[in-house]
This record gives sequence, structure tokens and C-alpha cells, in this order.
Amino acid sequence: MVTFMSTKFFRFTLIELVMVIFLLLPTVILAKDIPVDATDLKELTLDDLMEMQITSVSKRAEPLFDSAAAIHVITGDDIRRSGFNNIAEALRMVPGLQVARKTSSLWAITSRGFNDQFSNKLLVMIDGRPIYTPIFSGVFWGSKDLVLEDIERIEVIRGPGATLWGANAVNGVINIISKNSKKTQDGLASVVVGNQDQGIGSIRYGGPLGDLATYRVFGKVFKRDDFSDETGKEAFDEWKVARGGFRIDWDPNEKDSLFFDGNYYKGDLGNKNDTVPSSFSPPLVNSETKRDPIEGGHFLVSWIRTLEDGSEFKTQFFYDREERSIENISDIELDRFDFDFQHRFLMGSNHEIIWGINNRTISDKFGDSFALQVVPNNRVYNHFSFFAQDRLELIQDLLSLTVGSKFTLNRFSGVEIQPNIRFALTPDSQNTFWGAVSRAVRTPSRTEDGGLSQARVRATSTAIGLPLFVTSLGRNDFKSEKLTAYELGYRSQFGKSFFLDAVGFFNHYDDLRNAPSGNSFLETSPSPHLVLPIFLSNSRNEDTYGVEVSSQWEVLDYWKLNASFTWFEASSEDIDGNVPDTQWQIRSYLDLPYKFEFDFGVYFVNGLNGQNIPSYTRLDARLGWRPTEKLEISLVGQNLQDPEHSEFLSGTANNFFEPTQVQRSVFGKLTWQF
Amino acid sequence: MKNRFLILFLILFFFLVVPFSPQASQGESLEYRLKAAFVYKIADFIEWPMEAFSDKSSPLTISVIGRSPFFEGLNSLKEKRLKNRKLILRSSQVVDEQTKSSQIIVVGALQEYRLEKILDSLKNSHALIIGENQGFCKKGGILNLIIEKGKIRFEINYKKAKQSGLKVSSRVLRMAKIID
Repeated sequence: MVTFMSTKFFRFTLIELVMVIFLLLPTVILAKDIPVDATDLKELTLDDLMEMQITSVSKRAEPLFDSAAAIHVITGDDIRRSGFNNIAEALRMVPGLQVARKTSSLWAITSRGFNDQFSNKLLVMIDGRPIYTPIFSGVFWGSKDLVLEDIERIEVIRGPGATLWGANAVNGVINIISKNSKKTQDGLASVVVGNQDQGIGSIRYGGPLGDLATYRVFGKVFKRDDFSDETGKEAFDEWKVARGGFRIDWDPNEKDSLFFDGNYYKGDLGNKNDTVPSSFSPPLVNSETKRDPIEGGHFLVSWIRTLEDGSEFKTQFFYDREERSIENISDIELDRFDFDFQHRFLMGSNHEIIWGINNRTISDKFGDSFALQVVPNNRVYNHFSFFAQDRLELIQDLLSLTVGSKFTLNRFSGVEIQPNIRFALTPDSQNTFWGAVSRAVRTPSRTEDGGLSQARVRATSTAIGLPLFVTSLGRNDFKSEKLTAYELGYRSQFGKSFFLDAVGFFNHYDDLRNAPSGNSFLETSPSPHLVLPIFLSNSRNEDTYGVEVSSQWEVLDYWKLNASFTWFEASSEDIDGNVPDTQWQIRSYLDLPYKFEFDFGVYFVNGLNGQNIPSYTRLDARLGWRPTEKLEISLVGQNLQDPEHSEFLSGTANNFFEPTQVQRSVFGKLTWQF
Repeated sequence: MKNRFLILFLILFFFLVVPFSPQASQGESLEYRLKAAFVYKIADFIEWPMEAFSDKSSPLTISVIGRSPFFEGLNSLKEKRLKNRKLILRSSQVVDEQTKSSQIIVVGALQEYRLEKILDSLKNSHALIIGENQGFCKKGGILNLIIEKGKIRFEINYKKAKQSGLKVSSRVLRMAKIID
């Protein structure tokens, strides 16, 4: 850690931190003593009990209030009131996440820097099942979807989630949790009609299966319109997807709880690029609009067994298949088999231990094209990991310490160790002060570790009349990228109506991927052309740091305000340029008489210097009406501030997909239960 | 330079605004610790008929139906005594014989989809049947714990209580919402 200690920034902040702790101490000590555990509650009379408040504002944060991590929860109701109609967009509500829409079907989403359309440092899961595509180490948000009303909540942890979730959870973990089918035991149909979201229809039905189980089935189709290109004309990126699935929850006895979940989807996405090379002779590129078909599905089984002593075993298995054709680039087929086992138990009076193992077998197949050749075309490989974590209460109800590590084994980078240590200080049940030091790793993706893989990323004609192909070459010894993260956070419940959450972090990265170019050389077959090679290597080290603050304020019984602020800096222009250095948002939710709801959100995103994208201030508004318990009608406007604007132009996965401008959108939604 | 001061300012600002609220505490499952305290207090004001117990010194059994955070909340009651009897806490996925012969039966919120079925199978029991869903009392439950404006309130189906042989003290009835 020599480099880290010698940065000027850290030395200066150490003094500042010491000052801050001195200021913090007296306030912590003076905080009033309030009955905490149930023993005290039982000493109170019935009248006293009836006076006690369960705060509604922090209810969503309740189970996570004393966690030693930068965690934020979006509830199903947040999504409904904010008017978002897909998951990627709904993530804009999370402080510390940078969400940029590149085209109608492509998003660049990251936490704490390194945004890229194939943002590779964020682990995204649905019900514990990772949905990122290991090939590019990114998420194709277009093909992962749910009926939004069936989302229980989305938990976002910024920062390394290494211990429990393994490699790739370098900058964050997003887990989308769907509702237990017990909670969706009726029919629900919803229709959206708008100018951008031209049509979205979903229907879901649930019922009991015998005495001890419940099920739900659903179908969803949508068609979304193109955005506009840089001249303002309609572009090429319209897309449509149909999907269907089911979920069954079964509690055979009081110890066991199982659920089964499956899904199938099929669709196509519009795509176009002007720069991906497609032949040796002019025209070097094919700039026609293409339709890229996608198809896939999954099946998952999860079993939790809770014993009398409170210990818990969790076993999960899933199979996932994804097929995607990206015209002129590759036909990709991916099969994943995953087995996961975790055991949580108490040892002594103050140790809570969790340990687990996971094995993932991936079989992939790449079709070759002029632009991309992955060697070998087919591969079957394994990731195996083991983790263990101990949470101990150093001082009862005041200080807890969590120590853990994950050990992973994979063919690309061998054995990786990812330790972390966290503490949580809870002087009373209204305040939590936490800190963590963690190490996390991002393992190479298939295209980085490809031995002889090559990708022709750009073609230009040169003055001497020969075409030049910028070509990226994979290598067998591409290393994992490594992160050492330092975080400090503070969470506080002020009275019953104000909640505040603040986090500061400092990340040091080693062995970051960079792509220095070599000298161009001539190749003569099949026809003479120049090659400008880019060698993927791991020679970059960088530091990033920032602050993320969010708050919730229940101003009145019928009016809630949410606000957040994110600030991010990186030590190099390169990383800095792809991520805004400040973002803030204010969201207002107002319940009006006669069952009306008026909600709006203002989101400011600063410019991306590295891509010449100016800052923008987004305005969304929603008017909703729930005349009866079973019917909801709403009118939503998104991006009202501008007829169109750019959010993201390029990234290191360079121009495999042409960007478009995000357009103003208005839609009406009708939801009814039966 | 400017940026570093910004962080420091923000950190100091938030740390200096620490609350001094005399209100209720927060923390994990406060809702269920509170509900458990309600169960304990209200049960004290209830008289069970003789047939509900096997004898004068047999324990008082609380059965929780289905997986519910209520179970953890009630766990802290294990060491206590109620109506001068030892307390036994158990949970069950189905309404079995042991459940039917318990004196307090708690139906967790997630059981809403089969509420009628459960309450139907408990028609002839002498138990204090407690729930936490809308309409619990109307469907045949006896005591329903609900949250109104952030505070816990309770509804009592007095008729059903009487049918089951339970005597409810007027002190408790005064504070409850009576459902017919």
C-alpha cells in the first residue's frame, strides 16, 4: 500500500477525519437513552405501547439500518410513483449510481466510475441469479425484465460486495427481488401506451396450489420506439420483446421454504454502426440498420431451511440460456449452470458465521465475423468459489465487526483472494456509523482472455489508399483487475420523519485494463491492408473517491420528499471523463384528494468531459388516479425538459453500437386487478 | 483543494445535526417486537375457559402459523410467564392438532391468501386467534394488530371471543376497535 499512503489527498484527510471524530464523540455520548430491546417494551403499560411510533419513512431501511455497507433500497411503490417503466431507468433513483442511456435498448450503468456500455464492475442479479453476460462482463439490460408490479424491492449496494457475491461485485451489487407468489394471488393486467414506449402489455395471474404452495404466471410484451440520431431524425433503435414465466412458492413444513422460477423471452433490437469493419475492400463498413434477434430463458430452484436454533441453510440451483445475434459482430450462445450453498449459524453468544460454496459452469459459443474472432469459438469453463464471514458483537448493541473473505478459482486468473473487514457502531437505535476496508477483483472476460482472439474495432481509409484496421488483441495472461476500497458511512433517523444516509469512499485500483497501441504494420493477405494493434494489458493504477448522500423527508402525512447528491472524482481524465462529477436529484410524492397522486422528479447529471456530452437536468412528472382499490390510471412525462439529448456516446467496447439521442416521452398507463 | 473542503464540510454538517428525539427507538423489527409486547399485555387481560388447558399448571402455548417475523418478535417472551403459566412458543406450517390445542394462535401476514381456510379450521378452538391483515376480524379472527399513522392499534371481534369461551377485560375493550 505504499502508493496509497503517499498520496497527498489521504494524508490531508487523515487530519480532517481525526477532527471529525472529535466533533462526533460528544454528540454520540449525549444522545438520549431510549428503550431498545423487547424486555424494556414489556415493562411499559398498554397505554404507553399505543403511543410508540414505528416510523414509516425508514421502514424500508429497517432491516438494513445497522448494516456496514452503502446500501439503498428501491421499493415497488417507489417505482410506481416515479413513473419508471423499466428497471434500468428506475436505477436513476439510487444515489451513487450513474445511469446513462445510450440507445433505446442500451444503457451504461455503473457505480463509482468506469462507466461503459458493458460496465464490467457491477454485479446485477434477479433473485440471486446473476444477469450479466460473462462474455463482455456487462449487462444487456434489454433482455432482462420482469412485470414491474411483481418486484418486491431492489437492493443496491455500492462498493465491493465481494464476500457474499464473489468476483465482479467490484463496484457494486444490484439485486432485484421479486415478490413471493403468496403476495400476488390475483390477476393483474397493465397496459402502457405512449410515444416512445409505444406499447407495453403485461398480464399476471396467481393462485394457490394445494394447501402449502402458491403460484403465479405472467406474460409481457412491449415495443419501444427509436430515439433520434445526431441530426434529430428518427434513428434505428426500436426494439420489441415478448416474455413469459412463472413462479411457485412452496412451504412444505415450518422449517423449509422453496421457490421455483422460470422465464422465456424472445425479441429483437435495432442496431446500427458506422464504424465496425466488415470487409477488406471498400466500403469497409456496413452502415445499414440491422435487427439483432435475442432469445433465452432460465429455470431456478431455491431452498431455505431454518432450524430451531435460528441457523439457516440455503441451496440454490439455476440454468440460464442466452442467445444473441449481433449482426456483423457475432452470434453468441451462452449456457450457465450454477450451484450455490450457504450456511448461516450462531456460535457462542456473539458470533454470527456465514460460509458458502458456489460452482458455475459456463459453456459459450461465438460465431466468427470479420470484426470479431474469439479463439477458441466454444469453451466450457468453471468458476468455483468459497467464502466465509464472521460477524461478532464486540460490545453488545454498540459495536460489531465483520471479517470475511472470498476465495475464487477460475481458469483465467487462477486463485483470487478477496478479504474484507467492516465495523458498525450503533450508539443508539437511531444512528449507525460504519466503515469498511475491502479488496475485490474483476476476472478477465472471454474476449480479454482469448489467446488469439482479435477484434477489429475500427476501419479507416488512409492517405496511401490502403485501409487501416484498428485491432484489439486478447492475451492469455491478462490479469484480473484489483480494487482496494476504503469506505465510511453514517445513517441517521431524525425523529419520525427525516432519514439521512451519507457515505464517503476512496478506491485504489491496480492492474486496470488499458489498451496501448503498438505500431501499425502491413498485412498482405487476402489483400494488402494496415493493422494498428491494441494490446490489452493491465498496466494502469488509478484512484477514485467520492461522497454519496441521500435523504428522505416526510414533510406531511401526504407529502414525501427524497433528495440525493453524488460527487465523484478520479485521478485520471480517462475515468473521470466517462462519469459525471456531480449528480443530484429531488423527488416529490404528493397524495391529493379524491385519490389523485401528483409526483415529479428533477435529476441533474453533470457533463461527461471525455465524451463532450453537456450536462442535463431531467424533469419527470406523473399524475395518477386510483378511483378504486383495483384500478389505477396514470399519465407520465419523462425527459420533459428537452425534445432530445445525448447521455452516452462511447466507451471502451468501442462503437459496436451506434448511440442515439434520448427523446422526450409521454405515456398513459392503466393497471387493473381482477 | 476546494473539493476536499466540500467533503469535510458535508461530513461535519451531518455529524453536528444529531437527533435528540424522545420518540420511539428504531432498529431491526421494531414492528414485531412491539406487536409481541402487545400480545403479551393483552393476553394478560384475557381469561381462558377451563377446557382450554389440560390442568391448572399446564403451560400456555403460542403457535405461529407460517413463516413470520412475528416468531422472532415473540422469541423474547420465552423466559417469561403469562397468567402464572410457563410459555411455550412454536411454529407450524399447517393447522395441526398441536396448533388447535394452543391457547394463543398467531397468523402471520403472509398467510393472507389462505386466511379463510385457516380460520375455518380453527372454528371450534378456545384460542385467542391473532392476526395482522385487513379484515382479519371480519373473517373470523379475534384480535387484529394493525398500524395506523405509524402506531399500533388493535381490533377485537368480541362476538367470536365470547363464542370461544374467552373473557376479555373491559379495560382492553375500551382501547380496542370493536368489530362485529
